[in-house]
Amino acid sequence: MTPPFDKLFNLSANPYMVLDRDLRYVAANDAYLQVTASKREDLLGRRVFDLFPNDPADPANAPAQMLRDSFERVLRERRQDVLALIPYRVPRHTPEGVVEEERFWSATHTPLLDEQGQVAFILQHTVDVTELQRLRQAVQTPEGERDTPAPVAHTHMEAGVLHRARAVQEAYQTLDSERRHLLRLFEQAPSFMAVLRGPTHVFELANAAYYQLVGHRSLVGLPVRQVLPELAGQGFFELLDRVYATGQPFIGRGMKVLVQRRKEAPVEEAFLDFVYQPLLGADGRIVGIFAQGHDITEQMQAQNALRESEERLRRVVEASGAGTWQMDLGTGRVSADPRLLILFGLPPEGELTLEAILSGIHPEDRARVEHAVRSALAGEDDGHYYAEYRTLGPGDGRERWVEGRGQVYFDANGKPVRFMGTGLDITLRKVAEDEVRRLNRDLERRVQERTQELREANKELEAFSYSVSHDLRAPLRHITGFAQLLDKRAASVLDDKGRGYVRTISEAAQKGGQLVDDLLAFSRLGRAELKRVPVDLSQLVEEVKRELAPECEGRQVTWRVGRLPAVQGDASLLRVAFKNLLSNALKYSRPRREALIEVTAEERGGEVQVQVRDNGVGFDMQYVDKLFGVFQRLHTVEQFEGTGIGLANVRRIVHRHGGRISARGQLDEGATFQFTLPRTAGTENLS
Amino acid sequence: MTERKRVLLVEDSENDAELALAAFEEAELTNDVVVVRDGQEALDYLQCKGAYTDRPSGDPAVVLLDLKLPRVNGLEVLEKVKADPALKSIPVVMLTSSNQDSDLARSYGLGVNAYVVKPVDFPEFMSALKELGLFWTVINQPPPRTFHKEGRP
Repeated sequence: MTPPFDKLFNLSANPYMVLDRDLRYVAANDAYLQVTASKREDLLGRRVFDLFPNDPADPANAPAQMLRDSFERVLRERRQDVLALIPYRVPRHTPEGVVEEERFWSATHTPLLDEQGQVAFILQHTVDVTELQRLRQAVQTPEGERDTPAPVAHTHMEAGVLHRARAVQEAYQTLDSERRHLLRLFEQAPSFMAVLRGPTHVFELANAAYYQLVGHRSLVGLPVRQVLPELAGQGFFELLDRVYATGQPFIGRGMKVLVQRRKEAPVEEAFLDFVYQPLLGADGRIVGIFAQGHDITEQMQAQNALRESEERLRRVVEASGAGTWQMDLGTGRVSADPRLLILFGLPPEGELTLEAILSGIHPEDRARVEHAVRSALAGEDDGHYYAEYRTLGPGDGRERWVEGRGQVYFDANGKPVRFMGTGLDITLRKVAEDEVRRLNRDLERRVQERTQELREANKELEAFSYSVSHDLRAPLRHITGFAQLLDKRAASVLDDKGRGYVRTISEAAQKGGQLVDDLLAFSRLGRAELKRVPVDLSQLVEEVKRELAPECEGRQVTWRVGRLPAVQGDASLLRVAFKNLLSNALKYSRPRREALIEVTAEERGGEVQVQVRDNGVGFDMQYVDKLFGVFQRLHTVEQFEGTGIGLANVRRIVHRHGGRISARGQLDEGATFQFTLPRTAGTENLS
Repeated sequence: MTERKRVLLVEDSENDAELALAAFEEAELTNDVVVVRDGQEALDYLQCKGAYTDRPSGDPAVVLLDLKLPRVNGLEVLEKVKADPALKSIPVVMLTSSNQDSDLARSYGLGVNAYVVKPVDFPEFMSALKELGLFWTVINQPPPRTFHKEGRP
């Protein structure tokens, strides 16, 4: 027969109560209700600390904290927890009513587990040890002050038990606070830490850093393979197994792990320094593993980036063909790669010094290089060093040109600590540069020679014009002279034909003289200095018209002169040009009953464009190129007189003013000459 | 005995000399003209040296000087004449076919008394020479030591 446990529970003289996981009252027996002066219906379903929140006499409420800690221990560790001595104020029924009274208790908290082994309820068994405590205090009080004599032997014994219980409790409390402290340290430690239990490495503890590492997923109570599935195949589980099996700790340095660091995110690369340390049980057997380490991903990434950039730099330097060197300014030690040593003709092995390198430099360049090095070390130009110099290989005695570049690095105090740089063989470049310089010199010399030749040719040309003016004119003058003397003296003895010949001789010679004069005038036009002044074209055209008035006599000539602006130019040359153009217009319109001559101008982009149009005999456009040539004519002298120099003069004058000239025409339909002159002073054209 | 030649014509061209003489002939000045053929001869004549050591003393009323001459050219003759205190007062007229500015400038710079460009046109040439001859031998009053038509120094 099973005894009625409910009744037993209720009737027990010891106070009992049962709490659920939330520390709510589930049950309390009569004795409990008695000592706490409570009614059952006031307790059930309510939290224990809501009902007995604190002790008004003890603001720190140490007893309540002790109780709470005990409950938590039971919940966490699923083991019975004993509070040997705990003072706790409780209400008490007295004939005068309910009063608060401090009493001493010894409490035992026992977990009641459910089917899954989790704590479902906590059973509290309390023993009121207030009398014992008072007895102990009485024992400690001096003899004289004792007001109540006690049965000594029995009370002594009980007091001893109580004293020990209290000592144990105090030790426990100390331990507990240390444990809490350690837990806090564990939790706040910057390195990641976890405690894994058993052969399947079930997480028992993990600190904040660990959670951060693995992305804040649920860990405690679960085996590592289940909560960190992405680690499969990366060797970590196997390492854990081995540490667990062998008891040999494992130390990993800069190990790469692919881990999901945030929920739903793809796995990321992380680098860890860590230790798997076996945890031994009381019997010396391995019960778990303590994992601790640092996330060094950022350092590794920085290191990798540095390595990569150094590698890139090395490749670039290598590709440039430069040799590299560096010098520790503390020790004076110099190191250099074989490429650089070749440049200095130095053996590839052995101790290097700055002196050894300097002595490999051509004596003429050494002082310059030393100066550049000293300047860089003194911090000039931010410690930048550059020098081009020659080296002499002691072996082959070959002279090489080297381009040296370098940089001095200074510490925080501005003291130079390291000097490094490159040396590049630029012999070929130097040879090419010398060649370029030589060619330039040669070119310069040739230009000077040509200039001299041109100058001489110009002089010869001038001498030629001079002799033309003198020597060519003289015989022509003689021919005319003697022909006319002949005509005067011998006219009577000559017949008409003979007199005609003499006249022809004279006329031909005169024509020749005119040609010579024209040619000389033309050549002078090219050499005379241009005197630029503002020239009023309207006034100029009026004056030229007046000069040409004799040629208009007996003819019907209509002039249409538009508004003409002022230009910048040589007044006398422009007068020659206009005179040539207008007299041409008059000459070639002679066959017309009424000659029509138009002079117009318009300003256009800093230029003045002048147009001279006539209604004369015109010309065939296929000969337009000959129009401006010297002594080029499109008509015979019999048709229209002239030497063929006029338009050549006009073109030369326009060109010397920096302008352009063109002609349009059609046989029997008149001609139009168009030319530009700069509005303001332009560049002189020497053609 | 003094020579009455009053014009010294320095002309290397035989043709020019002849044409000039033809002009002087028309002006009836022929007998007063001495023709020399180069600059050295002109200087010898003026300084009574060389072939002219024994020539009658006295300076011409005018020297008609061509520019381009063998041996010593016209400008050099002009320079020497104007630099010689004994000769510098003798009027010198350039008679040349050159109308180059540089020749004009140098001649005047050296102190030439006139500069005449020989006209290409023959009638003009004739009249220019006639007028020239008449001006310097008849109209112009020469410096002392010059031959006079009447033969007085």
